[in-house]
Amino acid sequence: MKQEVYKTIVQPKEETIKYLTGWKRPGYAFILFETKEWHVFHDGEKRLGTGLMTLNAESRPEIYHHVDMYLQKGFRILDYGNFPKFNDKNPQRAAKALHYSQGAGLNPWDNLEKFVKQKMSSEINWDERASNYENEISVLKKKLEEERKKLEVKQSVLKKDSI
Amino acid sequence: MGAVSNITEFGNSVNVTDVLAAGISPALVKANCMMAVMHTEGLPAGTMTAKLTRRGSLTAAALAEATALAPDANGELTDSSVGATIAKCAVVSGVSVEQGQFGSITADRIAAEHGAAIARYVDNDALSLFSGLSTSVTSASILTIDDVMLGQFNIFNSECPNKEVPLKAVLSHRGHYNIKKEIVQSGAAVWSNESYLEVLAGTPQANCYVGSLLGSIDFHATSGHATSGGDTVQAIFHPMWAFAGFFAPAPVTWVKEKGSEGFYTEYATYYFYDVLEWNDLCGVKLLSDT
Repeated sequence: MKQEVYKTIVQPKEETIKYLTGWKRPGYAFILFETKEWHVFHDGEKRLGTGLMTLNAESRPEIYHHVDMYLQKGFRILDYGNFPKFNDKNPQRAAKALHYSQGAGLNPWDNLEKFVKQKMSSEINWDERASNYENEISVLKKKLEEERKKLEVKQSVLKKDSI
Repeated sequence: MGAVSNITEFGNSVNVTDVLAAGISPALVKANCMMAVMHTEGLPAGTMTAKLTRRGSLTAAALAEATALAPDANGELTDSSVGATIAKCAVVSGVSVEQGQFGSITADRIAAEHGAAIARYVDNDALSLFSGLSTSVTSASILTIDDVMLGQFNIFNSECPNKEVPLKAVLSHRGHYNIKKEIVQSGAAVWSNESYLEVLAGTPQANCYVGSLLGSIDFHATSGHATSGGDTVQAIFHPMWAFAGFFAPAPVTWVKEKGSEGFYTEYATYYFYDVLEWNDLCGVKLLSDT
């Protein structure tokens, strides 16, 4: 079975794609790094390459110092997600966000998200992301228009029947 | 032929139900491994952050006769540090008054389970540090002794201090199995010597220690490692210098009775800690088939 390459917010290096093939998004709050690491081999070769690293931010929204430490090592943030939100669809995660806000109304994962986004900003191809979203919007608009037309036809049939 | 009617059956009497048998199985969960194989300190006092120092060094140079030597970069001593920020992990349980009155789950049991759950959380957090190491050995498929020794070589080659202390290899259970299988299948004479056979013949200890390889590498086997692609991320590292942790002396448990919210007792336990990588070059990650 062909495994899909996980699509990250920041474009990974070519070498990292093999690690992202079949990579599954964890169920907990995470920050995904592309590592910069030395691959050592039995024949004595030592080659600088990449790898993947997932930083667990579940129950640890104050993990900035770890992020900074890994960035200083030359790692890049590729992706992040599953941060608990006040309006989370999962009530337990929404409760967790509220619990960690200590009643102050500030979700600490929102701050972490801002921090992570800021660290990623120079790497994100905003134009590409904007055009992706625009494409998605135009596809959805098209679908909406088709559904609207179908509804109009149905309504006109119903009208005729009632007459 | 149908069942005979009007027989006095077992269900016709009032019977004793739910008698506890003598055997009580513990939960099938992992033991704590990492806390014993890293540098540990108590919580910093009066602050949530602490810095672990990494000492710098100086470089000497040859000097010709009657030549002045001004202070230069070689003589500038610079220390660096890594910072820890203490975090909290917690677990909360509610026990109904019915369970409290008639059940077998006691407050002591809840407190013990909270402690164990927190210990596993902290342990998994420490295991996840392996992914952040900057040197890696990737097995061709399964983990081999040569892979582990290549990791050991790289740590020695980085001049990690205290080489007299055996390195720790914290493997997955599959990695441990593959090492043992290699020993069995190698047929090498050295493995017929009982003193070299600890890793094969020993039974796992409570702290996940499973044996030593030729006295220079201590093996631990546990679960909860991170994965990367189809590989499990294990590591070999120096127990004094690779990783560090700041730990509270014990978890704290609050007990609160809740009436209007449903007549139960809330047990809330929290624990302060942080684990972090201290010296990157004192550890090598070992990636092998999951």
